[in-house]
Amino acid sequence: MSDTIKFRIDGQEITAKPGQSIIEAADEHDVYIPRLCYHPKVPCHASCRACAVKVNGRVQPACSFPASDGAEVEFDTDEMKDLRRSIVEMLFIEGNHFCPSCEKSGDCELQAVAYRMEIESPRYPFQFPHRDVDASHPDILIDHDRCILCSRCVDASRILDGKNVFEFVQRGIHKKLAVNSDAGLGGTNMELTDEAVHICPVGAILPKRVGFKVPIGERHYDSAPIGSTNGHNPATKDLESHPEK
Amino acid sequence: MGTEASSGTKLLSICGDCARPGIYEIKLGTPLSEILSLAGATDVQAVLMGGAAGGFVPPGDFGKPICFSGVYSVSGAVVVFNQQRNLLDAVAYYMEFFCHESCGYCTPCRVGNELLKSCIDRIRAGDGTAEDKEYMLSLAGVMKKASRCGLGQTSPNPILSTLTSFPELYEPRLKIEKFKFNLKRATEEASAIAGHTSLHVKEERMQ
Repeated sequence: MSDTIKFRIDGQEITAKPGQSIIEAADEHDVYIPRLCYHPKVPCHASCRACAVKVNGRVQPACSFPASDGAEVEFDTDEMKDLRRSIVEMLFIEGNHFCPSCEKSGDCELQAVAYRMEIESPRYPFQFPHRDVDASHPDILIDHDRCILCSRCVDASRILDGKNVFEFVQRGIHKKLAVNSDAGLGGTNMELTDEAVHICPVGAILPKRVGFKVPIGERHYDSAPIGSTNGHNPATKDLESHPEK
Repeated sequence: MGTEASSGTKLLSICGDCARPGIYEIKLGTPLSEILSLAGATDVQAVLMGGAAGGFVPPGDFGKPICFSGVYSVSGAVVVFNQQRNLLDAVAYYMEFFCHESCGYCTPCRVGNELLKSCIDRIRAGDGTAEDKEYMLSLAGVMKKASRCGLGQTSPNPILSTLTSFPELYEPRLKIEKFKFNLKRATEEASAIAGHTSLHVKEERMQ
């Protein structure tokens, strides 16, 4: 078996090491595939589906699907762009995402991906669910309105922090993030230094009292779209040549 | 036994509007109509082949053989609906079932089923518009393509099969004009809390 896998994304030849996923190989070649639940520090969850690409004619999540020799990946096609945009729109309408009043605005990956995809307004009706805020912890706030159920904090707490602060409860549209204490986050052993606080792609888990320390306009995605070199997601590179329109 | 491409027999669980529901072992290739008479189903409006995630078969297709190339029930579930049944209610029932069944892991299934269900409910309530058909088709397409497992990939089937085979269920309910805001329905909950109806609703009623 050869040590190098060769496949194509929209005709461009990409090389990958055995075991690499499509998104990992694409990142190394400066092809930015949008992603929300995927983060290189935690295991692949493949739940958000925002990285959907077509592999040999079938839709697959690029984050979990292994690169394979000779595969033809369709990424920047009208069909796949619309599919990914549609999924990101679903994430917007199922929660309560009021960007102008959210202190994550400008640092939020959901917002940044939406801008990069040029989503102006979702095609689906807003659901306006009733969701709670958990402010019981002295240093950390959870706003469930903004949670996109990506599982990053669940895995980060378990694997990186060696704690078990988060888990999902309930199912379907009622699925939600829960904490390991009846007293709320304040009853857990979570600390501000935990990776789980800072891995949240949206404004659902926030450190307290630093809200607008970095002013709007000077935040990660204010000057360049997500997937550019100065974006803070370590998995993303400078990809100005591949705008996701 | 069976046909060349679909050999052998198939166990079918036939239920719904028929005199003799039960488990039937049939030769593949047997026409659906024959199975319906075996089970004592008369005055049939539609047959749901393959359970909730299967498809509604219209009477025009009852002559087709039960095999891979004809009409087929992968799960073996066959539900008979007679002319007295409201098929759109049945579709809504199955969508409710999928909303409950969705585990919520992936976005398209978690959100898509809810959106399809609310669209069907809107049509049943008389608020369907001409755009709803296209809306449901495109939403179903996203779910079929992008869902993580078979549930989200097949849950739009009751809607898709009825849109194709029973367009008369939808068309009279899809108004040509754009959606008109229903002030009374929108303020119902608030009116109940306030204990009185808004002045604007009263004015609208008088007009």
